[in-house]
Amino acid sequence: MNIIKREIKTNLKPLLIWSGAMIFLIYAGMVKYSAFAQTGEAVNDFVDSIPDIMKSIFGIEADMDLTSVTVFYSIFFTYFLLLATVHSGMLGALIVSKEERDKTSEFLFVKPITRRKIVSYKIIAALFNLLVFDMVTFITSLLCIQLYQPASSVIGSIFLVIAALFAIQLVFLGLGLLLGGISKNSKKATSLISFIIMGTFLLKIIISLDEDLKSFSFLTPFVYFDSGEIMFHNKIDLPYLFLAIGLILFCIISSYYFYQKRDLLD
Amino acid sequence: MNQILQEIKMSYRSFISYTLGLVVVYIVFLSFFGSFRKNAAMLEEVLRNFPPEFKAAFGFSDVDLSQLSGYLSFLFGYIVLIGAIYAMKLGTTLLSEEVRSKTADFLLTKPVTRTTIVTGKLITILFFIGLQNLIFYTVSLFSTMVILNEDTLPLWLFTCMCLSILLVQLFFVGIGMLFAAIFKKIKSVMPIALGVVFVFYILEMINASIMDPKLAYVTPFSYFKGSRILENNGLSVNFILIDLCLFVLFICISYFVYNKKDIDSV
Repeated sequence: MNIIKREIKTNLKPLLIWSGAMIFLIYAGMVKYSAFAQTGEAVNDFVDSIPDIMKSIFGIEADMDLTSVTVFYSIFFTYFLLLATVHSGMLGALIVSKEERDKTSEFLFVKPITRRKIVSYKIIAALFNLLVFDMVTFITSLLCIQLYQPASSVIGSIFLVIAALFAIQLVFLGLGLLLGGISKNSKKATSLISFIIMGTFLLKIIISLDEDLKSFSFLTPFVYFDSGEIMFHNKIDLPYLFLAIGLILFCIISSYYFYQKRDLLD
Repeated sequence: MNQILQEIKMSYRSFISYTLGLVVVYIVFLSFFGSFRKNAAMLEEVLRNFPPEFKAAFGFSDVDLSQLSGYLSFLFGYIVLIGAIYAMKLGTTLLSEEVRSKTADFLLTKPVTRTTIVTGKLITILFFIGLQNLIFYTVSLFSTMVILNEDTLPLWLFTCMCLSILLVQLFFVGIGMLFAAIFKKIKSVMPIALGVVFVFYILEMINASIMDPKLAYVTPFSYFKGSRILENNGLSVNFILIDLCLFVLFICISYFVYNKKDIDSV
């Protein structure tokens, strides 16, 4: 229990900084909307004539009303997702391997508590971090949308989108934990998770370029949930949801296994 | 000289990984040009009929993605991103390495001024960045000619885009060294490197949807954007000056701060 409290205390400053960055980005995105809104209905006619492939690259759907803030938000969602995944990936990779990095593993792991319990408490602390981060994202999004239209009408869809964000964050948290368990030091763990984040992001771009690559979508968590679909059609791809859940469970369970087996170097 | 050789020995592995990554990503994207060309040609037809204000509002400007130059400007956006991450990582790692590996009292008690030490690190950084750009330029030029069998490769534009990688990297080297100089101890480099680079990158992506001329000054990814290179048929001298001035400014501040800094040896 103490472990959770200590983890949260140590993570407080980084959490504030990451949340601050998120608030800044959401604000920057939504404030820019005001300039865009002035171009009016003509933009919609223009967008209607774009071939589908270009729409998919920019994340625009077939009958979107681009003068609406919420539509804008769903397009920007991919960008917010990028920051969130970096945060959660790093969190996962570092939360246990930082003990080795900071040379405190000799202190922590000789305490009369099983390694499993330690890892569990750390994961709980990480989840708490993610929840706070998502809460901040949620509230900031609502406030920024409120500037242009009554947020009460979209609370539901924004909540669903943030839930999707949380799911993708969990996937990267799990991957980070797994890599932290496998790698001998924190430097390798962070490098590997960075590689995976960049790789899956680029894969998402490549998939949107070439329709035939849709079958590789399972490789990149960025594609599992589509913000447009969720916000406007309240639709979630069930296969992807199960894939995400499966991946999260697999990663977390394997990380337990690896941390149990590993020689913790100090 | 000794110091430079030692620094190179310590960092050559990540240099190889990132340079390889740059080249591989470039080649992969290039190989998709063929299939992308067909879809983009359709878009060009449509865009031809629209007034420039709408195109600008949407961030399309005059980028013709079905042509090699347009596609290159699109793909270089991601190449620059990877380069920027490497530059930030390099800048931050090199200056904070001593504190992290507890070798500060070894290096800093040697009969050389701190300025000389920082200069040595800076030379190493510039060496790696320069070499990476050189390798990338030659390999990508060669592979473009081989893969696409194009005799119509716009060499000047291509060179400008490759230069843009170098210039953006200089910016992030500056920021990286500044962070490393200011913070007492950086326990983990990657979260900071990825976080900072992605915040700047997301700002640029947000700006791509709404062309705000003022926002372009905030993020280095906007200085040498592919579409801007195509528009001006070259790099904007204004932005080159701003970029270099910022680089020199950051480096000078780093020198100053590092000289005055209390560096912990344990």
